Amino acid sequence: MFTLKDLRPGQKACVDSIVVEGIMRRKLMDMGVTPGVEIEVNKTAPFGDPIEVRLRGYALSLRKKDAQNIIMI
Amino acid sequence: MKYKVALVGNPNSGKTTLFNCLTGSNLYVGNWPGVTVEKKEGDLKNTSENITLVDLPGIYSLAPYSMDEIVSRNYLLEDKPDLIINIIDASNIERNLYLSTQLMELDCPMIGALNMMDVVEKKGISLDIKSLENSFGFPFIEISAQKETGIDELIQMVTENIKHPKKREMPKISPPEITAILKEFDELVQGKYAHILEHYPMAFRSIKLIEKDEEVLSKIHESFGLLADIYETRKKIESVSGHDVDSTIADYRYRFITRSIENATKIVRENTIDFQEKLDKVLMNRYAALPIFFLFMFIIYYVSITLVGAVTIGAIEWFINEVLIVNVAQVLGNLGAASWLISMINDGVITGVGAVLTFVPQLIVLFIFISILEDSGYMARVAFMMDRVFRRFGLSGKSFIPMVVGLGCSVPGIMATRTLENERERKLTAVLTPFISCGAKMPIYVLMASVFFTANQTFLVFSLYIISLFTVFVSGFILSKTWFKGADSGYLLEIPPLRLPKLKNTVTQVWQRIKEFLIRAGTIIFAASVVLWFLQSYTFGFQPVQSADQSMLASFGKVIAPIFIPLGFGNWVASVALLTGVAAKEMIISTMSVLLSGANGGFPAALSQVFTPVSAYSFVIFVLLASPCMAALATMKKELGNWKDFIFALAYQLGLAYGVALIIYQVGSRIFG
Repeated sequence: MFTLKDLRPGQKACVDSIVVEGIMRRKLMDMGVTPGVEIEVNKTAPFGDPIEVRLRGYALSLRKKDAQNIIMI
Repeated sequence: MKYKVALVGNPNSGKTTLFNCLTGSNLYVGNWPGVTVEKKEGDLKNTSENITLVDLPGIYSLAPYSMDEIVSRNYLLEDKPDLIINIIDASNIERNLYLSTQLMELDCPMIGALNMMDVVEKKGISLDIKSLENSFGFPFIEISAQKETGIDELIQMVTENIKHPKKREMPKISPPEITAILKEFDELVQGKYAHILEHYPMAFRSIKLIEKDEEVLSKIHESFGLLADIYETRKKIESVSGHDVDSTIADYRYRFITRSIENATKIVRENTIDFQEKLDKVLMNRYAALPIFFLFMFIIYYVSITLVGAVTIGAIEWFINEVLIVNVAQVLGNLGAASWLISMINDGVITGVGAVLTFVPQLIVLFIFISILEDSGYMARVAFMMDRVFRRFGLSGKSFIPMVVGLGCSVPGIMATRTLENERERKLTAVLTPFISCGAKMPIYVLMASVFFTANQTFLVFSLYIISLFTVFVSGFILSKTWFKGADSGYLLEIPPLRLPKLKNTVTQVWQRIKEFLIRAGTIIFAASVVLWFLQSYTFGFQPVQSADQSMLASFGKVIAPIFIPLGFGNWVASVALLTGVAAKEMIISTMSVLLSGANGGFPAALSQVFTPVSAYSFVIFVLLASPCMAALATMKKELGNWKDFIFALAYQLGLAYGVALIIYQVGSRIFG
C-alpha cells in the first residue's frame, strides 16, 4: 500500500481512497480527488513541503501530511 | 421590474473580469484564487431590461468553508437571483463543472459561460456546446472575458432567458440505484418534514441533509426523526455503493462530468509545451525558486526607490520650492493678498500636499510591480514556496497573499485574509498584515534615507522590509502559541497557470491605487495641512507666533513628546507627526514638512536638527511597526469581529513598535555615540 506522499515528481497513480475525516476530506473531494482519478506529482516546494500535483487538468498544492492520507493504487 | 443575475463560479475563473465587461465597471482583478471577497453589484449594460448583476466570491462547491464562500452560498439561497451566470474556466473545465452540478440543484435558471476559450483553442481542443447543453440541461456560451469576445451574445442570452425563463428537466447525474434512494428520501422529506427549510430548493435540501452539511443541520433544530431518517438513507447509500456517502456523491458528480466532457471535446491537434510552462519550471525550480523570489523583491525596491527616486524627487522638489512657491508668493503678493493667506497656501497647503505628491512616481512604479506579481499568478506560487516556513510560525502559505497585497495598502491586505478558512489563522494574519509596510509609509523611509543614509538608501529601505518580515514571523510564532492558539488548518491551494500580465489590468490597478492616494492628498491631507499650519502659526491667544515653539501645536506636541524621549525622538515635531499619521500615514511627512518648512537651510537641514541618524532609524522603525492608519484599523476591527482581539492587537502593535525602537535607539546611540 502506498500514498500520494510516496510518489516522486513525475510519477503518477490513481486514487484508491481518502483516509481522513472532516473538512479536509470534503475539500479534497470538491477539488476532484475522488476514487479512481489519476494524479501526477509535479514538484516539491523548496523546503520539501508542500507538493504540487496535477489532476483533472489543473494544478493543486497540498501538504505532505494530507497527501499521506490519500491511498493510491 | 428589476431582475437580479448572479455571477457564480470557481475562484480565479475570471468572474470579476467578466463582471467589468458586462457592467463597464473597473473592479479589482488578480490572478490568484480569492480576489473577490465581498459581493459587488452593478447594472448590466447594453440590455433593454433592468438587470442588476451581482459578482460573488468564487466557490469550489456549495459546502462552504471560508467566510467569502459563505457570502456566495447565502446569497444564492436567501436572495434567490432570477438567473445564474455560471462562469466556467474552460481551460480547467472538469473541476469547474463540479460546482455546476451543485448549482443545478438550486432550481434557478442558469447559463454556462465558458470562459478562457482562447486558451482552450490554443491548446488545440474544441468544445461542442450543444452536446454540453444536452448533458447538463442548461445552455452554454463560449466567451473570453479577457479578450472581450462573446460578451454581446452573452448579454443577449441573459436578456432572453430572463424574459422567458424556461423550465428545464434536471438531468439524472447519479447512477440509477443511487437515484432511487435519493428519490425515496426526497419524497420522505416532502411528506414528513415539509415545513423544514421549506424555502430551500428541494434537490439542494435533500442532498445537503444527506451530506449532513453543518449549516443546514444547524437549522433543523433537533428534529430527531429526521436525523434518524438521514442516518438510514446514508446507510443505504453506503451499502449500495460500497463507499461512504461523501465519496459516493462527489464521485458520481465527477463521473457525470467526465462522461459529458468526453462527448463534447474534440482534440484538434496535439498540445505542445508552451512558454509559460517552461518559465514555470525555471521560476519554481526547487533550488532556484527562493533566490529568484528575493531577487525579484530586491529589484522591485531598487528600481522604485533608488532608480526612479534619483530622477523624480529632486525634480519635483525643485518644482515645488523654486517654481510653485516662489510664483504663488509673487502673484498673490501682486494681487495684494494678506501675508497670512500667502503663508497658509505656501507653508500649509503646498508644502503639506507637495510633500506627499513628491513620491507619486515611485509609488506608481511600486504599484506596477505589485500588480504584475498579482496578475501573473506568481502569488499563489509564493504561497506554495513559503507554506513550510509560514506553518512553522503558526500561519499558512496562504497568509502570504494578504501580506503581498498589504505592500500596496493594508486595507485590501487585511480584507484578503478572508480567503483563509481557519478562523485562528485568519485573525492572526489580519493582525500581522499591518507589519508589512504599506505604500503610504514608503515616502517616510525614502525621505529619512535621503537625508541620513545617503550612501545606502536601497539597503536601508530593504532592511526595513526584512525587519518587517522578521517581525511577522516572530509575532506569528509567539501569538500562535498564546493569544491566537489552536489547531492549524489544512492547506489546499490551486496553483493557477502563469500568464502574461495584461497591460489593461495593470493600468487599471495602478490607477485605482494611485487615485486613492491622490484623493487623500486632495482631501484629508489638504485639510489637515491647513489645520496644522494654523495650529503652528498661532498661539492660544490667536497671536501670530515668533517661532513655531510657542504655537498651539508645539504645546500639544510637548505633552506627548516625553513618551518618545527613550526612543530618541522626544521632540514635539516628531510627536505631532506621529499623531497626525494616525489619520493617514502620508501625513507624517506632510506634517514634518509643514512644521519645518520655515527653518533655515530648508527641510533636510531642519530634519537633521530634529533627528540624529540613530534616532531617525528608530523613528522609521516605530512608524513601520506601530498600528496602521484609521482606515486600516477600522478594517482590522471589522475582520477581527470583536473588541477584545482588536484592543489586544492594537496594544501588541504599539507595544512592539515601542520596544523595538527603544532597543534600536538605546543600543545604536551607545555604539554610534
